[in-house]
Amino acid sequence: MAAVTGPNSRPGWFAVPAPVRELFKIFPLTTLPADPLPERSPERTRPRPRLYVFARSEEDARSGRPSFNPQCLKWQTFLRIAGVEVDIVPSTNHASPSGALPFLLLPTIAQSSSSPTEPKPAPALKPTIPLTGSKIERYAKDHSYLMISDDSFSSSRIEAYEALLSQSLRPAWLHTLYLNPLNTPLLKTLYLPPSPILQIPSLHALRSAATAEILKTTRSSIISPDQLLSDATDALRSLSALLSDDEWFFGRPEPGLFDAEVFAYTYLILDPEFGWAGDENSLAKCLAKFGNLVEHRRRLYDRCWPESRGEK
Amino acid sequence: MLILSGIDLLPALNHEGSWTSGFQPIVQYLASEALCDDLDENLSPIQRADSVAYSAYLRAHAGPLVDLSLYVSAANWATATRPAYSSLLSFPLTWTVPTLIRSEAIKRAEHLGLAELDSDFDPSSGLHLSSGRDALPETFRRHIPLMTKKTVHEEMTPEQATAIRLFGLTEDCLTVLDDLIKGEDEDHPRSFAEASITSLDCLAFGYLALMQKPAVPRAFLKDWLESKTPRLHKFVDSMLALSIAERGELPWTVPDPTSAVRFSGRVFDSVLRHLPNVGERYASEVRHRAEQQTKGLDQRAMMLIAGVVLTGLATGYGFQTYRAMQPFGAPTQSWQPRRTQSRLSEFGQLGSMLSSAMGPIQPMPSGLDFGTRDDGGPGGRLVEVDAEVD
Repeated sequence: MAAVTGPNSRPGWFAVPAPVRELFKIFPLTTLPADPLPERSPERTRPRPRLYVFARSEEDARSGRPSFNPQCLKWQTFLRIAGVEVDIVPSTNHASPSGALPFLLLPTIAQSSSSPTEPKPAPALKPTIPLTGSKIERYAKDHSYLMISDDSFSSSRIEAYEALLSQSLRPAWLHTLYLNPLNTPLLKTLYLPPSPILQIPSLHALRSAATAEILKTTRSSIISPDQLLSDATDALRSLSALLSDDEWFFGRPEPGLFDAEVFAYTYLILDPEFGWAGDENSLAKCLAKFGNLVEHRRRLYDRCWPESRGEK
Repeated sequence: MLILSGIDLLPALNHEGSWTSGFQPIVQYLASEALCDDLDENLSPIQRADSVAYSAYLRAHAGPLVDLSLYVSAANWATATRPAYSSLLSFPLTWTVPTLIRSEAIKRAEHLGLAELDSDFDPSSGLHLSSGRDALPETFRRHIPLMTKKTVHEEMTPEQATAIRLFGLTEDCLTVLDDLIKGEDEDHPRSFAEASITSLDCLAFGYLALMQKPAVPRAFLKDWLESKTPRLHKFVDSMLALSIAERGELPWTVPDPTSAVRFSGRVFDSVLRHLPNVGERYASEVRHRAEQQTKGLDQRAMMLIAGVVLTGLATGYGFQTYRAMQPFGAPTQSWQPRRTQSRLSEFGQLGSMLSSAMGPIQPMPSGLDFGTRDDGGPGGRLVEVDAEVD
């Protein structure tokens, strides 16, 4: 005992031994300059709002091609209907503050330029809060040059039909894309990382999440593909009856959010370049039977993506 | 209840041996088999579309509200829903099945973010002694003497504390339904004015009656129906009077008595579902079998059983090995029984004295010893015994 405490007794119990202290004094050897932010991190100044969506490639996003995720496509379409110019950024769930895509980052310059007379202290430095869901709708309506019809006159019917989409069409979509083994290669290219080590657990997690979601929505204890498909067919039939011969849903002169929501599903289901496996995609067969929905899809696509009208 | 038949979804209809389950499929089945009048036959295509859409709305929005009121709210669950299940089930199942049903309902209503209604719910998932009374289920708190003065928030029931959000949800849902049920007839409002009762009316009645009729202590849905949407209230009463009370008592039949094997199977099934981790795996395996309609043993089941048995064996073997190991860090010591010693010396000093006294009676081991080793002799043995006595 005495031998251990002997040399340390003079400077005190907790003092660092002199050689160690000398060694630590050498650090830091050099101080490097701060790294620049990652290339894909949001820029400090944005001339236009940026919408973060799922996209297949940077190229697709830059040219504003429709996203492959119905939820993202819905908001992308709605912003296009409203005529709000946005930059599309390919992203993943992990980038989102809420854990779900899409979200919208507001432009920084527009705020300061819209009110140049008011002395605002450095508006660009104010952290912008990403907008999601109905806040995107409000933003699009506020910044649209069109008068987007308000949903107030038949809001309860719209809510009922929105519930129809989420209760009947979405489970069938989830089942076709996530659980149908024929579409596994497609699922891998869309949502999964390319490395096979990461792919298997991610695929498993994705599938079990989709299963849980379908079971929760249908309130049943088993997943029956036939029942899901017949529910989806009923939903499409109802939508077709609702649209009848009108140009847009609910007989409005201009398309609205509900049109965008229906389009998000119908566009992707009938998209020949989506990569559906063979003729197993029976959702497409069901949808093709309802001519007015197919027409509605084409009409909205031509309106929102006029630049690609020549392609199809 | 059809837990073992694989359908496991109520309502279920058994018509001549073929099962149909779920509301919409049953309506379609009844109409296609012409078992009763098609209630929806007079509807126009657009009305049919509305009917499908509002059914989806009821499932999506009215369903979670009923779940909140009957299952999530701890007070309502304890006084109304759980006793109702207990009266249906027989003894051991009353302990296992209702809690499973409740946890499913809680999961369905999770997205509404009103877990506070379940006052047994602990937000940080762990019993915090520092939080005192809050850590206890609401029902127990009454029996504990009050130590401190309660704040206003503590005085309120969970339903009162979350009243604003709760009423917001209720208002959203019931306003839509109120817009739907706008019959011309003031006394008998219906969803479609010119038609009589449709299948949508029946479904809406199902949800609204569960909001209004059960005698629950925290009747926030009933209060709302009575005060804000009297038309819906009237709708429930008129449906009840015209469609159910008028037809008299429903023909209840006593179900076939379940066999002991089946019953114990159900008990075992529900207990398995309660196990942490294993329960979820088991439930998904049962679901998989029901979806694939596999009966008996297929390759997958064999693999699973083999896996479980192998894991069990390995665990058991490992446990036994561990038990047999000596404590870590102890020096190796081996103990061997002394051949030449008499049994009596095991009993301490008294035994040794007895054994030395009874020396001549135990000739066999000593005799053997004596025979094999000539040099020792009986004297050596005696010395040893003396040493033992010392």
